[in-house]
Amino acid sequence: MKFIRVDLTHQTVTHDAVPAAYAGLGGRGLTAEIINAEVPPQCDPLGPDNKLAIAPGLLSGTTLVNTSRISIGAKSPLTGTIKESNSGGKIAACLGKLGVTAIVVEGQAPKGSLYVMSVDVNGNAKLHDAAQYKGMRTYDLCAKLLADFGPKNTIMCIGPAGEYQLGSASIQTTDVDDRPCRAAGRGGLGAVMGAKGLKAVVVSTEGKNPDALADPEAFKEAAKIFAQELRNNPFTAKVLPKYGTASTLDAVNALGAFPSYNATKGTFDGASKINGAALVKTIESRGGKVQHMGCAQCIVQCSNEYVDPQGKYVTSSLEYETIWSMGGMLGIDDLDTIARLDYLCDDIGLDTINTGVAMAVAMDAGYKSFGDCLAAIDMVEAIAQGTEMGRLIGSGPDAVGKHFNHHRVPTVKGQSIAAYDPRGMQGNGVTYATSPMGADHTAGNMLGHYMARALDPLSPDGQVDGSRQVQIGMAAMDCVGMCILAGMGMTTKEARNAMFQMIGAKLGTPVDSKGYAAMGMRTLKVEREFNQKAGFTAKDDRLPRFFYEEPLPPHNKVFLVKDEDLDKVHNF
Amino acid sequence: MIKVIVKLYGTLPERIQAYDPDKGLILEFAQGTKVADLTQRLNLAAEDTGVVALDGRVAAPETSLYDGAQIRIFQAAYGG
Repeated sequence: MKFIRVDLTHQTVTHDAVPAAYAGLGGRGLTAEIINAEVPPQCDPLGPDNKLAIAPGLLSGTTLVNTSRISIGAKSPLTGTIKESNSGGKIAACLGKLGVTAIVVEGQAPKGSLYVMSVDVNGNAKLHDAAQYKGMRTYDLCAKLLADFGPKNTIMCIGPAGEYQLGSASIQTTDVDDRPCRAAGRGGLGAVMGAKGLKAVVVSTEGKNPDALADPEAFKEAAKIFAQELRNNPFTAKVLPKYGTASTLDAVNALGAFPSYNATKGTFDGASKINGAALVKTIESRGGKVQHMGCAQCIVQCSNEYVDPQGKYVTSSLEYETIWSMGGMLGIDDLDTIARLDYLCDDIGLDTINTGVAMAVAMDAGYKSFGDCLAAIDMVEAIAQGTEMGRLIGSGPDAVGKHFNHHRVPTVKGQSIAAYDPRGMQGNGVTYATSPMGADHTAGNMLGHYMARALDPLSPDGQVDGSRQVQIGMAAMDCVGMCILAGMGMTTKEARNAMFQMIGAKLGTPVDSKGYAAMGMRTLKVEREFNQKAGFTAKDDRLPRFFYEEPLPPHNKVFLVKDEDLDKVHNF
Repeated sequence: MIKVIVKLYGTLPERIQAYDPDKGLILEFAQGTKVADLTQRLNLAAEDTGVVALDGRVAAPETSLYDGAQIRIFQAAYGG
């Protein structure tokens, strides 16, 4: 129940009880309320009036499996909207075990100065001068921070991209093996952290003071049921541990919705060279790990460790969205190049999705050729070096499109789409258009509906209702701190009921499916309210024109959902 | 008779001895054969959560197969 405020302008730290207005909230629900209540909607996202809200999920720090998701919120410099981006690793579980409900980073350090914040075993925060860490990439930075602050810490930090305050800058978190390979990638929140003058937050892993549960026995029982459901589920128990999220590639490619060559094709010829099977074969033949625990308390273990031909670590974890953004989208079918690009993005502190799509737009505009592996690596390296072209790429697809006067820029509100083309999966287009965050697959992925044949992915029918339902569900899950992949377990009634019981046992009030959905709806409403105050209207909830005008092979469909129907998504 | 090409993904290829991921399986069926008959022949049970796509469209168990169909069977995926 500790609420920490850090003022970088005056370098002060305060520890208070959680304000009554924020009681009972966690994760995205809490960051949304803080940003909406405390940040002037018209403010400069990179100025002193913006705030960075850091909140573990409502159930982070409990014994429930797969709940180490940290929500980070702010006004986004990329989209201009409210933003929540969440990451795995250990930090959410650790903050939860320290009894820390949220950290709010305010103000702005004097120009040129840089700080690191530590949170010790008692949950007390302190600022430290960080001049010695200036300009460091995240892998070296984290190794040095762990040497300086001690190994029993976990870290969230920015790399050079965050210090340059670029639109694609991520906030990286360390995984179970202390590598900064987990990312709150979306929305340029690394730039907000950089603008504040905060290089890293170092958090003790030794906390033993989580918030008390209202009904510990009921929680324990329900947590056991939930974990068992994950172990029984074929996807979380068999497919994800072996193939990771890369298993998604075959499904989306088979449906003709895998945006390739800057979203000019819906299938990728080189898919079999970069899919889950190819990834497993490559990693296994080199002695890497295909089943790896990346996040605290994870029993799914969808992570992997990609190694080079000599068996030396390259990156962790190579995931579906990155395989797409650095693979299909760039016409690259070489896993070693994709893995290298993934590592570079983590090390420089960049969103792999926005960065890959920015490069795809540059390639489509003729700056480099599709499939040019070295050019892609050079472009990402240029971001770290802070060259003119590097800063352009690191600013995201919109900036690149404007620079080259190129029309095909697959973004909404400045943020790139993810690995599902809205013409091949119409419902994902609805989510991209109407999410308060800009194009974001985690805000409401409709793939499950299509796999279950609940909806035809190529027809506009039912997509608005489907997207609304999934957006509410995802917002609720982001409040809880549950990993969305483990959240797959909630497809069974037993797991859903266990989840409701656990939230009730934490808060001391019974929660049912309606109460759970209400959590998601409240979050979305708060986010929309902020955006409206910031000047966003229904006209901003649209896809770029080319999605309506350029048919996507092989199905040769355009985006078919009408504007007036998009405007009904948030009618609740 | 009709001839179809079937490709398997996820953990499904492990079920078929000497499965070649590049070639897939070339199978012959009588006219009127349905998706359910195909999954039964491959011993894919409901718990495998196998999703069958016929030429890029998710198919129902009662969908009829046709000559030359490219069939992909993968495990339910919800993205990440």
